[in-house]
This record gives sequence, C-alpha cells and structure tokens, in this order.
Amino acid sequence: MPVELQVVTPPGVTAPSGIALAIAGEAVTRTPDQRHISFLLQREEEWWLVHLAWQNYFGCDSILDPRFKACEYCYVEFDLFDEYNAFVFVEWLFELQASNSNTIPYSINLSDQPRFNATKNLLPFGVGEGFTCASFVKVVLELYGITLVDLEHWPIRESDGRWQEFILERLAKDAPAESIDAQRQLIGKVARLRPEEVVGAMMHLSSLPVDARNPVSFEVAQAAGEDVRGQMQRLGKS
Amino acid sequence: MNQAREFHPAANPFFTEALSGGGSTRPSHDFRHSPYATDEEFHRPPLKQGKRSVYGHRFPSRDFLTTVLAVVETDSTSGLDCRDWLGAAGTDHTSDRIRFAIFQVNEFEKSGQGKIAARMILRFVEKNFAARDLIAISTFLRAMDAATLSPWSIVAVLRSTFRARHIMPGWKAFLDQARDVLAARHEPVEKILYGLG
Repeated sequence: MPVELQVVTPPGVTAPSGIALAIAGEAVTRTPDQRHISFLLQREEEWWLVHLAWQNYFGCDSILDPRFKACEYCYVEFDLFDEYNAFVFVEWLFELQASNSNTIPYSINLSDQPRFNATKNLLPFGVGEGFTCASFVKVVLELYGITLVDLEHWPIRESDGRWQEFILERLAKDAPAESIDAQRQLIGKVARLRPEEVVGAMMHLSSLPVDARNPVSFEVAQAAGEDVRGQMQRLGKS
Repeated sequence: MNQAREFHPAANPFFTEALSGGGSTRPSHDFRHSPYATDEEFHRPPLKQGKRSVYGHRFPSRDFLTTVLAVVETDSTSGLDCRDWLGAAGTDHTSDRIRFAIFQVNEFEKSGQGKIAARMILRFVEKNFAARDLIAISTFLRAMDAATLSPWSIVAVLRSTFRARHIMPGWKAFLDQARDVLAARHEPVEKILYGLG
C-alpha cells in the first residue's frame, strides 16, 4: 500500500475531493518525535486546517495564515467519499467546529462520544474525558458513520505511558485540576492512538472497495503509520 | 452583496468571532468552560435558543408560513438565512423554529438548491446538538421526506443525526426510505450510505 504524502504548499493543495488528512512534526508540536494530525478541508476555494489543537481549542485555521505553519504539514487526500458525502462532510465539520470551538477538552482518555443517559439526554463530557488530536479524528469519523480503527484490540505500548505523562504535564497549565487528576489515573492504562497511525489507517481503508471496508486493525495501522513516518522524514517534516 | 448569504466560514456568526483576529485563537489560560456533568446540569432541560424577537408575538403561530413569506418577499436582503430569519419571525416557540427550518429546507429544494438545503439541515442539527435539544432534532427528522430531497440533503440528514440514531424513532425509517429513493434515482446507494448500516 503506497502512502504518498505531499507537503502543503499554500495557497493550494491537490486533493480533488476537497478533503485531506494533514500531519506535522516537531515544527508544529515543538517537541521531538511528536506529531500532530488535522483535517485539511477546502471550502469556498480556500483550504483550512480543522483540528483539535489543545484543550478547548477545536480550531479552523486558514493555511494562508503563517501563524499556523501550514507549510510544515504533509497531507494525503482523504478518498473515502462520493461527491455528496464529500460536500456534506466538509460542511458538517465546519458546522461542528462553529458550535463547539471552545468546548472540547483535550485528554489522553479514549472517550466515546456522544453518550446518552437513560432518559435519552445528551451527556456532556465527564471529568477527565476528551480527545487527543488523533482520537478526535477517529471520533469525528465515527460520528459521521465511518469506523476507522478497531480500538477494542489496540494494545497499550510501553512508550504510551511516557507520552501520557509528558502530555499531562503540559496540559496541567490549561486544563482544570480535577481533569488532570482523573487523567493521571489512566497513565499506562489506556492505549494511545498515534497521528501517523490514523493517517495510515485512512490510507488503508481508502484502498479497499466499499463492501470490504472494516475497521483497521492495530497491526495494519501500525505498519502503515511507520510508512507515514518514513515519508515525513524523507520530506524533511518529521 | 452580503457575504453572510454565501455561507463562507468567515461569515458564520461563530466564525466571525473566531476569525476576527485572523484565525481561531487559543483561549486564554483563564478561560474555563464547564463541560462536566454536575447534578444540576444533568437534570437541566435543553437550552432554549434565542430570546423573544423584536416582533414579539405579533404573528400568531397559525400564520407562520404566511408571515415568513411576507417577510422574505418584502425584504430586499432576503436570502433565507436561518440566523436572520429565526430572529425576525417570532420563534419563541420551539415548534415555530422547527417548522421554519423545515420550510427553509423545502424551499431550497424546490428551487433546485440542494447544497444550500443541506447546509440548512447541518446548521439546524448542529445548533440543536450544541443546545442538547434532541427533541427538536427528532421532530425535524420526522418531518423530512427523502422523496422530496436531493442526495445532498438526504446525506446531510442521515450523517448529521447518525450519532443519535438509537434514540431517534424516525432515523431507521428515513434510512430505509433514502435507500429506496436513491436506488430509484440510480445513485450509487452503497457508496453514499457507506457506514450507516
């Protein structure tokens, strides 16, 4: 499965569907060996990075704005949809962002959303719940009806705990103390979905016919994620 | 004329705020939302959108469509923008708000503007999800007739409400109807409805 990443070159991106996944390395995360994933969406001719960047920051950032360092991202076209879904997905994601831009917590917890109580009311996030940039992409796709990965059989890797500790240290400046306390209990006990694995899983799913698309397993996503990292290194964007 | 009619992200009332500084901005450290389910929140009824409009109750509910049509026809800026007209047409009553959203969708569909109708649907659904008003979404869903909708709107209805499909009585029926309608129009049904079950 050849994964072919390209570097984002404002003002244009070559993705006829108008949807891509973008991934960036240290230049954006300011942390070695740490990547960040975002949707890259075209609307009214312009391209936007639509992503969960941090606590309460569900952003919609123009690739033309140098503050968002779009040229540090690599991207691959998201090719799962027909023309109707491609249009609706972009419009829906913008509406989702408009209604939730400052209300989505960042968390190492792999939360399932949305949840409903017994009386069928929509529940807000519980303490310590939220998403990472990668699990946010997964959840957004699930809300839309696309199950990207099979997280039920996702292992907890040794390096996950170290990353979770590091993230919570940084998150403590921006998230409520009660949320940090709740997340500390999860260090080393919850799996981590990595940005490059999300990109790899999407590429794998795109390569399959519609009736053969099943949630991508850890083994496949991990191998595809390694490919993505290799490509990022070759493009000088790791 | 008025960019708000173009539905550009920067014209969205929420985006206008977010992009006024040139892009969405990181909230300050002092900013704290309250996303957690306290007991009080848990039992709180869904938020009601909007306050009484400047028109108050001048327009009785039974004349609602007449009123909207009159407003649309006499106002040169009318573009059937949901935000503007919800405020101007006396939508204190939830039923009116929903009825007007349905009216908008149908009007756009009748005029062959399926993509704009889809945008209306997405905006209505997402705003009500944000307000946790699932009754409004459910009522809206039951009023949708796939036979009169374009594929864009059919997809918008199904995808935007997918997350609450288990608690929306009309969702499965709409999906079944959509499948039949799309097949009759020789659309690639499986690809369009991929993942929806």
